[in-house]
Amino acid sequence: MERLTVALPKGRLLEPSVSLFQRLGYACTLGNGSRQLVADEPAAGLRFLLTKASDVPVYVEYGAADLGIVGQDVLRESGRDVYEPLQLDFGHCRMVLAGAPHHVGRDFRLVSNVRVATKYPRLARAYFLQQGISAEIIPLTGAVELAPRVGLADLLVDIVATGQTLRENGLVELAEIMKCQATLIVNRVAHRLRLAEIRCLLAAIESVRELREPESPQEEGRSP
Amino acid sequence: MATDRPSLRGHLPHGVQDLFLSEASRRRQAEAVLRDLFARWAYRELIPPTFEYEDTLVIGAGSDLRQAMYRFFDREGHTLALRADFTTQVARMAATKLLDQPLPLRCFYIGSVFRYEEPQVGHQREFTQAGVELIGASTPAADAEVVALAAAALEALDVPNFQIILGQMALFRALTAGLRADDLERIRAAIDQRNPFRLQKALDAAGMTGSQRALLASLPERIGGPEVLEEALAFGGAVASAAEALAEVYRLLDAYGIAGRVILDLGEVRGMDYYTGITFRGVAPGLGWPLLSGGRYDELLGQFGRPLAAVGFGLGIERALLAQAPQTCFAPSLAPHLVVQGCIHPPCLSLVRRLRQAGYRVEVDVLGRQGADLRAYAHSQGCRRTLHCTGDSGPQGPLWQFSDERGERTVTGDQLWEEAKKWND
Repeated sequence: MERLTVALPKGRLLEPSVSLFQRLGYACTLGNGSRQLVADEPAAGLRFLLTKASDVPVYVEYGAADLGIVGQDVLRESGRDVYEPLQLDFGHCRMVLAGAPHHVGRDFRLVSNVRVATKYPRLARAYFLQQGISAEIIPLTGAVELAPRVGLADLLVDIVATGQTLRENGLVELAEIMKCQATLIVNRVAHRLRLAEIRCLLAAIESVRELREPESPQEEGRSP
Repeated sequence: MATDRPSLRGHLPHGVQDLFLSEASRRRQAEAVLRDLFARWAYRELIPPTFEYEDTLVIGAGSDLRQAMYRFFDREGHTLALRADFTTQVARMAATKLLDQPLPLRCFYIGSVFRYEEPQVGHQREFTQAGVELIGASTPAADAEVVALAAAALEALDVPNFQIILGQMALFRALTAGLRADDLERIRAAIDQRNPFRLQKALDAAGMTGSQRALLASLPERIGGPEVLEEALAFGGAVASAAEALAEVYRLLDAYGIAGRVILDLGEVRGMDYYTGITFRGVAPGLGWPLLSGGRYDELLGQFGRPLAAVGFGLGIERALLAQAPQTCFAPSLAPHLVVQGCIHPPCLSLVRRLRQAGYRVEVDVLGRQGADLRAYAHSQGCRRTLHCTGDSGPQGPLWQFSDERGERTVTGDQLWEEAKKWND
């Protein structure tokens, strides 16, 4: 049998993901300055892939990876069809709507067209649709905080951990859209064909993590 | 504003593809294998039109499928649509034109369907579906026959290590009967995602308690053999009868000799607005999507005015070909057995006709090639044999110059016929 393949995301979730697997006894030599993209552990029957965070759901949906770790923000934005059997208790952050302080308390439903910069166009569109706000979504790939400062957009939708970046750019949070955390995702076919191995791995992860589900009333209302 | 749009001439739209040479014959071969298999199970082919009135095609189609339909207008302004699925068309025919046929009806179909979706590997905007519908029987024997035929189809296509994932929508329907639509959908979506946290919240929101809640909460984990049915069998009522029906189908599949190919999965709750009984999907290692899916849909034909039970499946031929064993030599050789120099002599063309009638692929050159030139051309077509008419006759009739791996020689018609018996490529 082929070894189980796990896709890990580059970026902020990599270090805690690697450390999770190391605590389970895997070498998991990815990241940490190494440029390695594939780490095979034949003895453990596992293979790790290092991919761009937004590509993790793609690898898993196609079955190129059986499992993956990804933030809820990236997962919901991707709209990919995968199983989500386990929430992991790291990578906590919130997706918020933010803007200059003078927007606080403003009713955006009365504005004919709000311009919103974001790395999450799909989630932002769904949010504004649900709120009944007419918004023009301006998709960017990074440094979204810059957009309101230079007049490219009125507002932004982005994830915040501490709120530090918003403050430094003179922005304030206007609304929370959803809470996010790292999630373990599984390919739908692999979940049934390799049930025993996957259950074993999930149980091992559960045994080393204290799992919590964040309170996210906003998220509940939306069908994925 | 002037825009410089690149010319589209010679290019294909997103999501469709050309098939040619060995790929084309591989596809046709797969279709032929399935047509033959379905016929041997006593299913008869239906060939519905590629497009019909949209009003008809949306009957029984889920919202995803409705959104994915290609629509256009006829000159009277009626909305037409390309079929996105065959089942609705088969149901329409069964409820109308085939009204007087004895039941059950066993039908199969093979053809293109069209969906306006983002193309992926094995998932184009035009793709080929082959499937069957067994109409007018609601017995576990009918369910088992269709599942067994699905397994036989994957076997016939030489898909290695495939499994059939078998669920029971009737069980989930019975467990959630009477719930508000939004509560039900939250529970269904959480089970479909195998997300236990979201499921617990959805069960809280729906105010569910006791053994009903416990059983619902356990559905995502109920994957395996008949043991996953134990609690449901003890539950009583409609839940127990749904579980018993699935257990009976499983016993029948065991009798068919394919229980080892079947994984029961009570967390399979996709297509709830459509399926009323068993549901199943064919999957294979290495391919992230199901190769086929199907189930029982007893409410569809009633929408065409003839309430009849029905069960069926549709198989994606392109996906099945992706999952085929790498060593599968599914496409027959296309190379000619013989390349013949262009000729105007009746005996020569009559020999060609006899060879073709006997099943040999014979190409007659039309560009005036001769000798080494003709042999080089034959090689480029994957053929080592050439023939040309000498114009001479011996005591046994006309003489030909024949060339193959063993060199060149003069042969009579009868000698060539003897040679041809050895051409088994």
